[in-house]
Amino acid sequence: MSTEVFAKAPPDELFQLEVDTWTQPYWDAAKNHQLKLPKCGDCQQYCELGASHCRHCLSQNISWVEHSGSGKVYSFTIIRFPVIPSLQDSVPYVPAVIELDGVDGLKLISNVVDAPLSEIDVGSAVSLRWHDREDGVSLPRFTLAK
Amino acid sequence: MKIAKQAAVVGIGATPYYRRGESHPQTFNELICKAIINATEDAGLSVKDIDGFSYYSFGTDTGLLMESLGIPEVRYSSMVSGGGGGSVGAVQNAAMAVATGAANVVVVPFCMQQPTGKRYGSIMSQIDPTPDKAFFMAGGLVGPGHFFAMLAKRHMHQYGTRREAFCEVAMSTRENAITRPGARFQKALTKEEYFAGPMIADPLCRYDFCLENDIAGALVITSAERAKDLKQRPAYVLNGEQGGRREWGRSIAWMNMPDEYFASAGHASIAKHLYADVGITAADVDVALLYDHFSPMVVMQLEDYGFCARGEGGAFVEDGNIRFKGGSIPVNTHGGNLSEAYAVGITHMIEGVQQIRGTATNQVKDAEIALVTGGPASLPVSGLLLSR
Repeated sequence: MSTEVFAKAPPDELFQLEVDTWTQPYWDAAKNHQLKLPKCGDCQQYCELGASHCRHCLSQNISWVEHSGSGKVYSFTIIRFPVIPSLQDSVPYVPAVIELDGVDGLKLISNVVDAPLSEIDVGSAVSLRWHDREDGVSLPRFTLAK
Repeated sequence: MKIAKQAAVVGIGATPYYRRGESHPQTFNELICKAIINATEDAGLSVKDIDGFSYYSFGTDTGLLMESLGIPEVRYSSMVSGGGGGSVGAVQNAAMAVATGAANVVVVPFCMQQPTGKRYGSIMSQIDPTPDKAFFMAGGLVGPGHFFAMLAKRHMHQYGTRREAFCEVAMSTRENAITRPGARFQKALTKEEYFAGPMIADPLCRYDFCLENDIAGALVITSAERAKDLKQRPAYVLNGEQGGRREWGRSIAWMNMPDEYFASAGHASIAKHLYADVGITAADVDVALLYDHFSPMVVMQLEDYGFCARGEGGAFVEDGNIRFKGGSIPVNTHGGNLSEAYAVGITHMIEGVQQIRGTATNQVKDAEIALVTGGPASLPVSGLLLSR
């Protein structure tokens, strides 16, 4: 009998989405289950998420290019202790920094969900798993790649 | 900064170190006033001599302080941006203010007082949502420890750092607190207890987290010239530096640091300028008061400040190098944030001054140069050298 513990997910009520001009395209794409990353339309390098200018060439011509969501765990933590009461039913969950395949200079903060804790490690291959919230916001999360 | 030894810390003061939430019904402003009065008395000055305030981590209201303390005129009032990263930057600003003649007696006050029922350890769940914070808030990062755990995990992966190193930081810091009057934790911590401690945010267990306290503290800074005639041996401001590199940037609120920065404390550039400006190296530092909100960040600061090579912090610590007794660089001789108390950097500044005066509880013999750091945190981060 396996007693493997699986990663859960943080509760929705922890977070309310606020957007601005420069993050709206990211969250709009997420609603359609598309992971889109900001790339400079002029110098073709990835830009910072939410930045108003390309930090390389200062262009504001930021285009949003779709990514498959396949990548690797760059680092992670396992939250085991509910520091606030609303986390009680959500632990353990796994915040992670995700390095996306082929993307240089832009890592995502997300969660690894629905995976055995013992199998999650730095370097683990992950794939996208969308989480649709009741308020209409969709979050890109990740699970261990098959 | 090119004003070595033109300014000095001449007074230190603090309230008792309370457990979080237990300083009530005293008010925030009241606690700060008490610390300032203590610090000016320590210096042999009157509060009426104060003509400048230098704040960090959101500071407080200069006008309110003047009302309570009867300070007639202020000619300098400024604050380092950001949070605990900039803590010792406030001493640098104060030193610049007196060295340039902008003001004569500048106070760096800080107060941390927790409202009942809320705690700093879950601070990220109490902040208003903004577009830039959406990315980490969506990931369920609620307390500072959740973020720093990911830096620690990466350091372990990249350099083979072991939990035994974090344990040694916690144990050595605790040992220093045992004899320190007013320290919150004064019972020795064993390796067995450490490893039996509950895991909070892997790889951080209970003993890797700092305390949460109610404390006000204050430093009084004046010119080197005036310092000569005051009550205490001056702790000269040898150098100060605040800021940091874009690659570190918002650090934990961003997590986009490249490899060489991610598993670090973000202080490497601070260290470089701090030493180079005054022609010293890490070997010249006698005691290091390193902001220890989380034990792994001590390991990473030891690397940033050149006490050991990048990636070797774990082994360096495990070899006993940061011990007060017998270590090559005694660290957090007051018991640090992990065992003495936590108040966003002010307690480290107080200990730095005591070490230079020669009056510290765990006095490093003939300490001539003390390093005091601000928190590894979003920019600005900061570093300070105090000297005889």
